[in-house]
Amino acid sequence: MSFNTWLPVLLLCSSLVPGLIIFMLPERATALRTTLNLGGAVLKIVLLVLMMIGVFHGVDYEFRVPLVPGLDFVLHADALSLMFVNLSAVLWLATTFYAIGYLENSPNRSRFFGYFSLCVTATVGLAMAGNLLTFLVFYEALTLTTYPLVVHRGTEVARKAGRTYLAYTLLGGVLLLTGTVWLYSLTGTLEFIDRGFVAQAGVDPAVLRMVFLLLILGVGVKAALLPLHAWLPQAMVAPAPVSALLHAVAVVKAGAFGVVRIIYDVFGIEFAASIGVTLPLAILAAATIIYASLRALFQDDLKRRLAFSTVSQVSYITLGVAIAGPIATIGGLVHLVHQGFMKITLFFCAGNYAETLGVHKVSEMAGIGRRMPWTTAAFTVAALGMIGLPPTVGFVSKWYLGLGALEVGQHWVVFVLAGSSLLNAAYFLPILRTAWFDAPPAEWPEERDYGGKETAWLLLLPPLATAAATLVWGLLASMPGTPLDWVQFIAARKYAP
Amino acid sequence: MNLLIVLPLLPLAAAAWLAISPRFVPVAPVAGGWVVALCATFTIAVAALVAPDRLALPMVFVQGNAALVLDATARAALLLFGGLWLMAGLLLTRARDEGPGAVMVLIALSGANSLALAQGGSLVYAGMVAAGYGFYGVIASEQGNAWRRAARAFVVLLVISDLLVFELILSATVKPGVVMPEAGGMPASLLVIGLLALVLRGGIPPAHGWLPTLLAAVSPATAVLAVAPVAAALFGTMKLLPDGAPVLALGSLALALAGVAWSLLAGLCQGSARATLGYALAATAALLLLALPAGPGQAMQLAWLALGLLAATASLPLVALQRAGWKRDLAVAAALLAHGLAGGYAAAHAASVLPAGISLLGLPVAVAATLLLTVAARRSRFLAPADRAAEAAYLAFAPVIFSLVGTGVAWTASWPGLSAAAAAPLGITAGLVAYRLLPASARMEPGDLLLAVERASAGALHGGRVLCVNGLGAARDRLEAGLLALWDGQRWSARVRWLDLRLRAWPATCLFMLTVALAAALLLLQ
Repeated sequence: MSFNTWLPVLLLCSSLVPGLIIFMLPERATALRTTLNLGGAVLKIVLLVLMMIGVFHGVDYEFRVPLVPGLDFVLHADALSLMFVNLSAVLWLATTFYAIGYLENSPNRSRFFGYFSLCVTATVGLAMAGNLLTFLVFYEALTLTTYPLVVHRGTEVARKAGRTYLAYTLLGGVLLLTGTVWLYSLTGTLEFIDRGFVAQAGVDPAVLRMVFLLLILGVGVKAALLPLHAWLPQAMVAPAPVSALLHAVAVVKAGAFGVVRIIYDVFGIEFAASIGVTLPLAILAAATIIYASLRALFQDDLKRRLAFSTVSQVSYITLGVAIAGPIATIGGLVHLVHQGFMKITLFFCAGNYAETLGVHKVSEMAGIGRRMPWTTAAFTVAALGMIGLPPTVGFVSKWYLGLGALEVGQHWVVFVLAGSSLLNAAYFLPILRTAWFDAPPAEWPEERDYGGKETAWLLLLPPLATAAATLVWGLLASMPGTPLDWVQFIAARKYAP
Repeated sequence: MNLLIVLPLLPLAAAAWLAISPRFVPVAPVAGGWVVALCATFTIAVAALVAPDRLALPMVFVQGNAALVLDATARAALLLFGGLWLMAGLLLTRARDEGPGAVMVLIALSGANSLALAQGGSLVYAGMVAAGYGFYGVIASEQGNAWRRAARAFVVLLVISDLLVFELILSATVKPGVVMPEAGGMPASLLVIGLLALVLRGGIPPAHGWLPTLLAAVSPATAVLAVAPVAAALFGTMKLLPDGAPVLALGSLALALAGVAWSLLAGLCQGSARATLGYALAATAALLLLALPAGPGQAMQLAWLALGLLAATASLPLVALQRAGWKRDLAVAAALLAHGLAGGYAAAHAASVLPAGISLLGLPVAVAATLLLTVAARRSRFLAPADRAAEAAYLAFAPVIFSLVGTGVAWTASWPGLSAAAAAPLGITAGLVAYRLLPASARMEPGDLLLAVERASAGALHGGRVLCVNGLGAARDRLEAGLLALWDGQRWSARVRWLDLRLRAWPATCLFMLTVALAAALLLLQ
């Protein structure tokens, strides 16, 4: 085996090994734990850059070992998988910084960071899965590694949320497993290939529709598609870094990525459209977008409002993929990255408000911009991005989704996007108004002193960095090296004649 | 560095400095006003002195056709925006003034400058968004609460208008199956969307309700800047529809006539000068809507006319700061004259795309707009403290000069004929007569039509909330609880026990089981 063969494994181990070591560290070994965390995150990014350069120049990275007769455990790095790995790796680094500051002096940090690293490992494995079986293995591993993070606080509310999370995601796993086994019995293979492997099998389309339904419902739980989304707002009891991880890096994105893989590399977009499964999926995604936006409108708890916003925004990805066209695909895939950066910024900021001032509700945010201007500035950029306003990345996503929908004659999608933007404006703009322009209260609920500073710098830098990325990648969208550029490279491959 | 890129960035940098500096160097409140005035002066200087220029920005946004361009339209827009912000900045230098926050004023200036120079659909859209939300920020940073209703209405209209503009540039870029880099031969449906967006964000009746309410509630600096969203909407639409919309000339005429009639009726019934000015501004915006379908004209006269009309309107809040006397009379007379002349030309410009039989219908619109402005000027009372009067006496001349410049450039660049001048004497005379005949009395609330829309929206929102929270939410929670209960072993045990007891307690069960057993035995025998 060459070095290139081992690169995917190394990428996986860059978070797995530090995670396993961290479990064994005592609580007081803060410096070593931090070094392992950050070292692993930086190493992952270095390896990733190497692989991205290789993939861009046509190098094939694949690691394969037999798992059961006829089925291999495959890690395969293609442009699509590296996009997701990139998102996970970069945001993992940002979240690690943030979590170090957020959990300073709190108990069970070794347990937390251990599972944190394992969670990212599962996400990276899922991204690089070369077949449906490997995908399933990491999909379930992700469920099991995120559950301890959701219940980390150990309160009754956290445990209840954890039970709900487990019930939903295990149900999703069972559906995915059923679909996978059924599909294997029909086709005899589970390998992801461009344009899918199902079309060549000559199976009855009615049966394939059932398989598609099972698979999509399986990943739809994590992608928070209506009506399988209810776990997500409840999981908001978790600490802010976990919320950020769930919403922007790992779980929700894993579901959305699963939808992409099933449509493009299992069924193939043209074949999926020909058996009539993409339009119902697009309609379901559209319903999710509008329904979740409506629910977000009336939430006073900031994190719950953001959670419903995630439910809505992640369905943009499903919508873009299900519209079935090269431009809409660009819109959907690029939103996978863009939404990650915008949403992680919002959750970092929500965490800062809670940690610094004890503010958890929108109704408590009057004048918070004067007390925490940098955090609120980052929140503002991300919120405007969520609405889809230029010059943020949200505009770029919405532009390609709309353009793609018009390209294939699906005009109704533009109305869905418009309605969603309107609702996003309705639930984000009042927050911005009250934060910046209303008079602050005489006393905040639980204000902590950071020596005259807005908050701890470890809590402030990550949201500022991700907000800056949101702005720069939106403003200079046509520049080489942006997420949009990489996604256009992917779309060109997926739709290449 | 190219000066064009500095224009939007300088106010942003100044805003950042003002926002950060209190942490390091204490800055007097008046300094914010001077910074605004300096940035605005730079804008005016670039508009007046720099030769035509173009800076391509291929990396910006998504279409690759973005550029900053200093042409005649941009020059007129920059002069207008620079003038407005210069006045606002100078007003803010008075420490006792309760005006908007200087940081927000600078952010809005950055947006306005971007819009003035923008070329290429997505960059124009970004400029419109920045200018619109920047102005919302200016309103929201005012003291007190009187502006809230107007600001809420404005931002709702702005969001809807943004969506329409987005739809316009999106649809102009793509046709089914073919993605086109440049729009060409825009269909009527898109032109309708463009004009509708202009109506919504430009304070044109029937979407004008926020204007009188806002003007009646804010400080002089914000009142001067209230012209900016109208200007931003107009210049943005001119850039998005560079060839105008001749096919919609009749529709625009109908809308302008109805809008001006309503503004006239409501404006004359107002009690305060500011509210009357709001209706005058709405009427002026309707007049510009009438002229827009004819396009910018060969000499870009529409842009200069917009400068003339809107700068004249913006001078009125400053007039209220002047003592009675020849300086005030001169400022008012010059502003009304410029407005009338520019309005008459705008009506003549609109007539070029109207059918011959009704081409003169634009004139009453221009006359009515000048009439309302005259009434607003006459209703303006001197309210300022004595120490501000002397300064304000000169301050009011600045927008008047910009107005005269705009009108003068338009008239000299392309002579419309003397008949176009008729609107000025007619409008001013009719305004003076109307002022005499109709004493000011608040018989109509500022905001008029919008109140009903607001109430309907509030009702719909309340209904939506009830449905989402009590209806859909509760149903979803019940379903979720039911589904989760399927996983509960204890509940299953209880259910089975309950079923078992019921079945045993029911004699028919025994008979049923006996029947099943007999049937099974029979089947086996066969």
